[in-house]
Amino acid sequence: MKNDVNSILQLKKREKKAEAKSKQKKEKKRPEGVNREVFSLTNGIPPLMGTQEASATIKGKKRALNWKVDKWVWTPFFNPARGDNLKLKHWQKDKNKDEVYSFAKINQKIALVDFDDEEYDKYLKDLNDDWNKEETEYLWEMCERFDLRFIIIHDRYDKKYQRTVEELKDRYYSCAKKLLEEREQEDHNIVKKPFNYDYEVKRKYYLEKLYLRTKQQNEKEKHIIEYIKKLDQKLKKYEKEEKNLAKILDEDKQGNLLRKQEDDSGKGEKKEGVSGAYLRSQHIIAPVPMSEKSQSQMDIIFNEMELIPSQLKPTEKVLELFTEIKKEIIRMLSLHKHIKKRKEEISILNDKLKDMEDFCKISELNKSAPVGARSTGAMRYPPPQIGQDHVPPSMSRNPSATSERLHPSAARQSVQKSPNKDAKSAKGGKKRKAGGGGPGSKRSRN
Amino acid sequence: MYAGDDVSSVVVDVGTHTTRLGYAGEDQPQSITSSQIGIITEEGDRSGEIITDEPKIDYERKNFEVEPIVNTDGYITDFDKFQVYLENKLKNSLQLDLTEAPLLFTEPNMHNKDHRLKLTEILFEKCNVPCLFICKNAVLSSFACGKSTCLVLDSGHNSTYAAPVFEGYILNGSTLKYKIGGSYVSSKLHEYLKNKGISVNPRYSFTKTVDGENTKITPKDVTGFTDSYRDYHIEKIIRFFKEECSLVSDIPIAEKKLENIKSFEYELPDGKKFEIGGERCLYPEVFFSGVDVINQELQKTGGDFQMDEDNSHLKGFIGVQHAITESINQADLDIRKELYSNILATGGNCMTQGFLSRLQKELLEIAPQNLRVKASSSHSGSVTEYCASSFTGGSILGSLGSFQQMWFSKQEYEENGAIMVERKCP
Repeated sequence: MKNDVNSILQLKKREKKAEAKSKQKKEKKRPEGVNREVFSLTNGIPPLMGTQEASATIKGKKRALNWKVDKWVWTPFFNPARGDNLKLKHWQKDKNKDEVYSFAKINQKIALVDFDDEEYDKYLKDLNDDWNKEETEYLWEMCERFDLRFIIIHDRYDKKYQRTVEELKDRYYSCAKKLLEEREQEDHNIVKKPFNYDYEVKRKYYLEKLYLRTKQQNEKEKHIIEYIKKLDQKLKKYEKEEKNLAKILDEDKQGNLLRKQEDDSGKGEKKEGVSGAYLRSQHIIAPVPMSEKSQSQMDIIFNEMELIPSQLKPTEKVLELFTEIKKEIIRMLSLHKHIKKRKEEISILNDKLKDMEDFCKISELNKSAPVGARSTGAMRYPPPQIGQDHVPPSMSRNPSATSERLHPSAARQSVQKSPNKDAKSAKGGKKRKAGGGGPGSKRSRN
Repeated sequence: MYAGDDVSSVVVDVGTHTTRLGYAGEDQPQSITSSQIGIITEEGDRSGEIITDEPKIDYERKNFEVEPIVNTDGYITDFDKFQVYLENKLKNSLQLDLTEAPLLFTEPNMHNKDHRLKLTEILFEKCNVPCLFICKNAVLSSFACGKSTCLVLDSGHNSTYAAPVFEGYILNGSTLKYKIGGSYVSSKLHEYLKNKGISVNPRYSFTKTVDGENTKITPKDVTGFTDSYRDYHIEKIIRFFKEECSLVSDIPIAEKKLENIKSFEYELPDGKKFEIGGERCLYPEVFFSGVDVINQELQKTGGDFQMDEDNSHLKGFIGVQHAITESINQADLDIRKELYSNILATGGNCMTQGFLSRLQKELLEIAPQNLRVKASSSHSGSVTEYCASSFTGGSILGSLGSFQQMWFSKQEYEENGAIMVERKCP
């Protein structure tokens, strides 16, 4: 090939030599087993990493040829989950043709608590007078068909019997419980957590009521909850300040005025004054660590008394008296504040009392109001038979009773979240908890 | 573990407008054809012959009656003709013999025991299928969407259903049906065109020649063509028009001024051009407001219109959103939450522009406030997903490995009788 190229192209000797050299180089470096083209891909430089040998390489070719492809057949198969001999056809590997149909194991059935005639006569006959044997057996059949999905069972149940979902559940679970107890299998879930018919009926009644609520009612409730949150926060603030105040008044007696008012580190034992040497004149004019407002108020009082701190002669006696004055002033200011707050509180509580009275009157009038726009979705469940012991204690509506509960300490009862509380009484309970009006309060403000 | 097992079963989904067939395991039916057959009434050696292929029905021929194979409720009335239809369809589209194919049939959402029994009998006795399963449309639509519990709103050609499906079983006691669908809108649009003085001519009644820029329409003689044939062709034209122009408005039509709606230009096949304005929103509005509101609106705009003569069957219908809530309210309280958050809109009529968003909006207003309400359609919302969702569900069901034990086989039929279908196909 070299000679051909040479003769055709008539290359110079130098280039010939270079060519020859490079070719030799290439030929030298090219390892065996690697094709020329592959080698030239990487420009003669061997790759950094070793490559995995594909099975169809020269060495593995024999292995690849020995591979046998699995044969698939379109064959009829027997399905053990079926009760009959139907043989459908599907594609299956020939070598697997004797395997059991893999989907048959998915055919799981729920383990019903079943009974025979003897057991029925012994235990279940007198359990519930409303049910006879025929219907009980029909129910068991339905339960087996639909895997205890009571909602579907109820939907497909024969209309002549007229049973609700709860009745069906009740019958099944009470019978199952009785049977399990008699068979002494007490650790079954049905025995441990028995089905409570009354609770279910009540729960559905309240759930239905919840769904029938209108948008307005929901928004109202949201408002009230937000309002309560705000009031709670305010209350906490007041409580905190009261605590501080109480501490300050206590501390006053022990004489620690130069400390900040909100400082409740409670170091009542420490002596008055600054440690070490100090100039009294400086001490007199030194600003007391308290808020700007109180500082300015103190300045006003000093002005009225015609007392200018910087013009006082800084003797010991003067200093003593001056600190006394400061103490008294601070005490007076805090007491003023306290009085103001108390007065506000009283007025709010009075408003609240008025609102409560109005609300009571209105709620009496509204007792017979219709449920709402969607009365076509009429409640199928009758109101539950709430026994005497279930009457929540806060149901009373007497104004005198409410005024009794206006005392803040008594009002701090936690709102019970039991389903027995009617929405209105719950509102009332929440109202009593914090200072502030209910739905009527907006009216009074406007 | 791959849950599918292909036994080459066939899904046949018969609707009032189209019939979908195909193999189970496919995501789209092999054939979607109209549920009509043609009967040659011409005297001669072909008299009485039943034509089932759609192109052959479309073929221009005189003395040719076209009739549907199912009635407006979706039930088969003439089983002999249906048998011919089914056999031909399977042979032509799938090249399959009925005696070899496990057959999965769909049926309308209202339970009709007699229809089921008759169908089972015909399929086993006359067609000799090896095994059979009959399933309700709503259940299959919910499977197509991947849900086992949902509320299916199926608004099709002739009827609209609100059917709750719980764990793969339909709740018969809470299923609602209203006899209103896409055909109502079509007929109203046809009336509208008539009132405007535009007559819709079927394609065989004219010839159209295009000469450069000029198109010339020459009417042809239409004697000899039957009424049903003519109605079939006109319905097709109207349907194309309806699919292009109808729009569901985003607020109730009573609050909206019809004049403000953007008008739409359309040209019929015979060259007639016209514009349709607010009426394109008015007629689809029936699905959210009921028929009375439409009649009121028509009265307001004045002009000629024909009051619906027989609307007593639609008296309770005030909108699909109310149908949905009513259906859910009849179901058990414990499942209402799940039903509300899984509302599936399926059926060709739900493809109308703006339908789904309006539905979601209306539902949010009337559903209980503390529940999450979500109305959706099948994933991509393509034409097949709406029109053939029950086919897709049937295809999924028929190809599942765990389904193969549920077929109602010929042997079981022979041992227990047709009544066994009630037990085997819930």
